[in-house]
Amino acid sequence: MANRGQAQYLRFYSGATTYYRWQNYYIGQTVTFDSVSWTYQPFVANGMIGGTPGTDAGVSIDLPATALVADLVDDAINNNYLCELKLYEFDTRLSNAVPQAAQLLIGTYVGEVIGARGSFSLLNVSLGSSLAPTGAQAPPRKFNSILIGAPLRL
Amino acid sequence: MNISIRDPLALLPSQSGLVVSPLVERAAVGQTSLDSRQRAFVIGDPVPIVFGRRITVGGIDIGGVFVSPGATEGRYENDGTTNELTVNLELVLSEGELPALELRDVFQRACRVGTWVQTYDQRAGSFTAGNFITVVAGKETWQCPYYCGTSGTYANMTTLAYQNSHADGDSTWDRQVHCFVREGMQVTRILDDTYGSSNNLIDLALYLIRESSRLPEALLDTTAFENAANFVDVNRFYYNGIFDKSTNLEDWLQRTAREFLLRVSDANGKKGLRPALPINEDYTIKTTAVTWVFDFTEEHVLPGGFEIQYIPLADRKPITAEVLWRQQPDNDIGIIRTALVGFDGEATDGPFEQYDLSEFCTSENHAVKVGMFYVARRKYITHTLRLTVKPDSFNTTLVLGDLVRVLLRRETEVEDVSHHNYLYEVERINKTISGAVELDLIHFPIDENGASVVAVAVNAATGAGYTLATGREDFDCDDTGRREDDTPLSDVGGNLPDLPAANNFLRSTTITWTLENPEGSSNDGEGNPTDPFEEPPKPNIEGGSGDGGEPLPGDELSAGEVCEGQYNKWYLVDENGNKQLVSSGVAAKYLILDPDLTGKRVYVVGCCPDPGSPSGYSECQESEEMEIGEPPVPPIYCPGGSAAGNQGTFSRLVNVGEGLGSFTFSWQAFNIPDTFSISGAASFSTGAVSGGGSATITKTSAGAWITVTVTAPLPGTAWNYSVGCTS
Repeated sequence: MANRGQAQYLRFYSGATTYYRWQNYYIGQTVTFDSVSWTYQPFVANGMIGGTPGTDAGVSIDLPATALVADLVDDAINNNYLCELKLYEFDTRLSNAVPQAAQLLIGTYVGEVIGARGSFSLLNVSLGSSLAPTGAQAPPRKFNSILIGAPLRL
Repeated sequence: MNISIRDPLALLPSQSGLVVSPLVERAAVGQTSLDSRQRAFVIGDPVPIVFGRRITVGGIDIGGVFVSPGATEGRYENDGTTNELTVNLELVLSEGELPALELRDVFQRACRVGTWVQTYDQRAGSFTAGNFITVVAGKETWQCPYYCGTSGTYANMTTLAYQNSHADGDSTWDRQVHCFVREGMQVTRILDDTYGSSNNLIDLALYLIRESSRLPEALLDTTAFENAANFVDVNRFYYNGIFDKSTNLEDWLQRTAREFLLRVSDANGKKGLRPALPINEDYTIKTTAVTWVFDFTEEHVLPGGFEIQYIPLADRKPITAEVLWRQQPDNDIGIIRTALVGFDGEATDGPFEQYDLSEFCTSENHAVKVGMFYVARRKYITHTLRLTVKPDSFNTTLVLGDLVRVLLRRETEVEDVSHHNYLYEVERINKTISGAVELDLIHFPIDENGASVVAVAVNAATGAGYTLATGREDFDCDDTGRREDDTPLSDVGGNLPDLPAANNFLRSTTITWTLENPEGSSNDGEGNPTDPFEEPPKPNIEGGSGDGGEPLPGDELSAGEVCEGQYNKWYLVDENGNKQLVSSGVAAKYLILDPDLTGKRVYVVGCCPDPGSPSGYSECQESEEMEIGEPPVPPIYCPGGSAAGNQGTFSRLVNVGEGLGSFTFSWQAFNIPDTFSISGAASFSTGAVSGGGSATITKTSAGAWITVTVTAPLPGTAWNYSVGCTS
């Protein structure tokens, strides 16, 4: 395990527009990987969970509550940004300076920014699905006055 | 709110659908009441979705949905002579567009009668709603509804208009109408990418996810959905039902998926469905030896990383599953059937557990396989496992649903080594920040051939295949020839004028922030109200002898102590607001000597020591100002000033003249001792004395006023004194 390094890459995007690309392994550096640049951001993802609904499937990420991050979180929740977290694994003996081309993708998670909480200095961002675990959602439409006026009363 | 679960692993069997016991057993939900009163939709009712597709499988037609649509408008009119009643109803069949129904498939009660038209996205038919009943002499007047409905847009709905006539006295005029829908709502089917009716659960699930929740497409696991769609299609698990009960989508997905032998999965954040049984490449149920992708041994398991949870006895006892489903003949109304599913010789006389699939299941084989799935899992799956392992090569390959083997040596006796050697299905993967991987695994029992015993049992389960008679022989109430008339209903419709206005309240989402950036301005919350608990304490004035502590001439005032070593500064304020410092010092007091001060105000400023401050004191606090009142007894003026009295304590101001010097003080206490004291501009005390005496007293300040206090505590005493002027 000692030779095993793990780097996390985080991307906030909506449609074809990517707002931020961050990585948390190469401290203070902007690195190039997959032909795009990833700036350093000291975030911590708690891990990636996949399973059946109800088994805590989801990801939460701790981010420093800088003005940039606070604004981003606000925008992400308001505008349904997606967030993609990728976890790569590599042999630290080969290189620790830049991402290795041969590093292995061991996990990926895509979710909506469904919530955030924290303190004045730290924000914990929850990624998941906006498919609410409670509340009635289906069928999608209900009869209303525009659809059927004042219906027959029997 | 956070709910802490003492033992999360214990929840796994339920979360994963391993343990499924019906909470309620009741009449089949797919049953339709034929001869009931026509129902009307109510504002707020969900718009029903009729989903299904009748197909022929092995020479048998299966599928279709029997629907009892609600009405939204009605017209009731009678003949002025015969009293024959004509009823028109506007009906909503389903959300979305449905292919035209056939004449043989529309009923009132159990009879194929009436005139029908059908349309989409608009109102069907052209009648005007209303009650036009007139009284006909000698006939009983029809009691029809008065509130006959207005109209609406009927946007994205399939609507029907029905008309029928009823002879005078016919009591069936208000009975429910029904339709047998062979082809339900049309969607773009996932398997052939064609717009049309579907009986594939995945098409319905995707429609609901997209329409109800607006989940981004990026969060849908398209590959998993396609695999699941192929699985249910190949194994002939079809959905033919009406979706009209408001529900939570996630709940519905989990509940319904199980009954199609599917499981909801969240993989990489994407929602999908996957088969709950091993499958072959052609999506059939795999009944041959399974392969596993990784062996977990002692080398991988981290200390404390092995947790096992056995399925409780209550969830393992043999049962017979009583599965309800719907048999749908081609030319008659469907009936509810039951399939009893169990293992030979086990629980033949109970317990029975009911699984109601009648809402959507029209195939006996589907019902039997689902029943066997539940029964076999209860019988064979014994435990679940949570394994915490170090990362290894599986890190890049292991996915949900994979099979793994856990092979651990158990060395509890010398030369007696046993093994924990089981196959498991991966139910949950948690890749933690430390690198350790937490796996939730469900026991995957295999037979001697290495095949899944649950899959083998489910695959072998097939229905008896016979068709139960409906019990109906007489179809005389049908209009002639209608039972075989497959003519599609005409597309006739159009919206009425003056539809309800869209009285929506849509507020602009553009917000102009009114708060300015605080940069450059003070940011100290100066506009906030003061908090009395945070204010420094103020000294109060003590020692006033008047009402409510009012200071009076002759009183010696002190400042209430708010800190040790408090430095007091006493001020007099005249009627013009001019301040005069009259006394100061650590714990300084102020003696009001001059009766002429009456009407002026006095206050004290208290300062607490603060070694850190340049002045040695912290910020000083002022007391409230108090007005000096009238002296209780008139003052005495020299020369010739004197006073007399008896028992008690008496103080009196005496003006002995300004300037330094001395004055004479003479007293007489008679036989009973008294004490005479002087304060103010001079200081003197006789102590307790009897008889008379005199003294020359030197003043200690240039002030004119002294206070003479006589303390005469004993009864029967008497006294007097006199004071000379300063010289």
